[in-house]
Amino acid sequence: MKICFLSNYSIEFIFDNLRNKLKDINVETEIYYPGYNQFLQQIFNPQSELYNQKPDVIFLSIDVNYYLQNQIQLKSNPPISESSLNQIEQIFNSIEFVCKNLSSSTIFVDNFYLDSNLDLGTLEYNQFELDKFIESMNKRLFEISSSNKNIRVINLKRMINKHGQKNLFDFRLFYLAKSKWNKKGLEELSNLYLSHLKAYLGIRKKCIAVDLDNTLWGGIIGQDGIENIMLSNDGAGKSFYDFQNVLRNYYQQGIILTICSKNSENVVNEVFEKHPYMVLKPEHFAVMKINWNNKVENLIETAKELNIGIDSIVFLDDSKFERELVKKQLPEVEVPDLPDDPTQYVSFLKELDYFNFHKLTDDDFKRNETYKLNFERKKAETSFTDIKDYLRSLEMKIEIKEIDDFTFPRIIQLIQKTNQFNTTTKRYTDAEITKMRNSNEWKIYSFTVKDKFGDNGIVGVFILKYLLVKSAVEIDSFIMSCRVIGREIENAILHFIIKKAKASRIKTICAEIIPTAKNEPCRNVYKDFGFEEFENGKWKLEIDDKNFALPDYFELISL
Amino acid sequence: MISDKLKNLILKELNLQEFEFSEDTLAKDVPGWDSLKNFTIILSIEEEFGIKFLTEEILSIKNVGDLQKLIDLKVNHN
Repeated sequence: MKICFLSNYSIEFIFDNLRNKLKDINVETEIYYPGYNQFLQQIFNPQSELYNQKPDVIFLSIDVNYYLQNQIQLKSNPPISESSLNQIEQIFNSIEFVCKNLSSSTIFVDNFYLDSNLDLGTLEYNQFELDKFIESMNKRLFEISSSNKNIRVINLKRMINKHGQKNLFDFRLFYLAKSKWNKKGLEELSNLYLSHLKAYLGIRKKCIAVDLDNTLWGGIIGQDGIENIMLSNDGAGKSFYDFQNVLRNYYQQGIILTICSKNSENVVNEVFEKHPYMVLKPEHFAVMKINWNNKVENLIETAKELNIGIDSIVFLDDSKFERELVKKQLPEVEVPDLPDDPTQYVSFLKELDYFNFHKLTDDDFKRNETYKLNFERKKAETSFTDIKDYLRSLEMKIEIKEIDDFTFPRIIQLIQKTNQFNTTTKRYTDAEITKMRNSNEWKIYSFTVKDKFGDNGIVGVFILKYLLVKSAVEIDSFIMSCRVIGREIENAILHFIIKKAKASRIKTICAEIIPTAKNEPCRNVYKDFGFEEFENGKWKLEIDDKNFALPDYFELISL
Repeated sequence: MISDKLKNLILKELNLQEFEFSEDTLAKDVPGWDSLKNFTIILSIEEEFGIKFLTEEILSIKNVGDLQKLIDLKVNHN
């Protein structure tokens, strides 16, 4: 990934730190930095290295305090000199300019804060409003971000508020090296940038598996009884109530919640039914493993039932014993050490860097409903002996559509995060997909699946590359959400591709399988359909003289 | 004499396997020791030795020998 830093201070102090953190999550980076205070020259000159490099990501780290220092004057309100206001105007112009002229890059902009060395003390808010002026700049930044889809705002101000300027800055460096971040400051700044890069790359966990006793409530339900467990909207029991509320927020973001607890189901059910302060209800949990089995087995089964990788799970349990067991036997599962004191649960959960989003799609909001529906589908499945009868009973409707502005974000999301049904695992970025959209050679489609239980939303993407000289079309990527695996939808999609190809007098369909540690579920998609392997991992199907019949349990709609 | 503690710390910051430091060694003689690394080394020394330099002290350091002397002075003073 190519990252460019543009800054009006010496941001290069952070590079080693950030590069190492990215390496830890297997992201190789190439950093381009035109030097201290070069950002305006770079942005306003279309011939500059910035436009030449076309980085995937640009960090605009502009500390406005450098323009305010020595420019505070108490003759006007806001108490800032004319020239300083002009410089700030130019910053905003440059942000909008780079957004428009490098539409293929994603631009991360730090929001603004007031350095306490410039603070007006008791005059602030009584006669002068410097702080409020900074706020108005941040509001303007939000407006720019609402009207430019390639900009993301970094809430630097919140990070600085949380840790405090005295803990983050070192003014010896400010005067000697044009950067005021001390070691802790660089570490926190680097973590903040990393969170945003993870959100951009779609690196996040999908599921939180929680224990019950001393995790969702205080005490042990089997011993203490429903009236004695700690859970209330007041006092110490409120810490559990608040913790449940934060978990519910994650649920609303589309993070799957499950239970993994050693307990008797009937005792737990009583809490769900009768306890007035249980925020989380059975419907919030996609899977409930409430039994006396080993938690390792329960987590393996949870992953299997949800069709997600075991490494997508975060396991929260107050018991060190259980945590160590899971860490040892399932090293892929993320097992953070929950603090000993439950009043720290909320801040602890908030600081976990596992669930970074920039924008929630409709699909994220709907995801947990879908898992609930899947549960009902599974139940229905058991009443059929023949899978075909079952599939027929689902009354599936598949709608296929070429990419447009509305489906774009979800397509990017699927490309970046789908691991299992992903034939080539090519992680195309916003920029690359935009480029493909503008080329005649490429066609990008997404599809939705509806059935009698409900709408699954956009669950798949396939990218076709037309090789007209060879009168062939290549399936460059074929990606499907794990939610709909096992319903032969892949075959319906291949039928569509064949139909399209025939209409353009194409004779051969080519495809490729690039095996990864996780994409087992799609390895045989071409083989099972009748493709022939002509080279290792390369498949082809001659279509001109053959007829292919779509199974009767699909309705295929192309929009 | 340059202490092993200081030597190892500098090697670690600069990502070097080995380097022979003498009291007269200048930053520019050591691969990768630029003005940026200068500050990360200073900050690491402060953290490692539990000391704090004044700005003028940082400016007065001309070679590794000066750095070692300053560290010794500060550590003993504590």
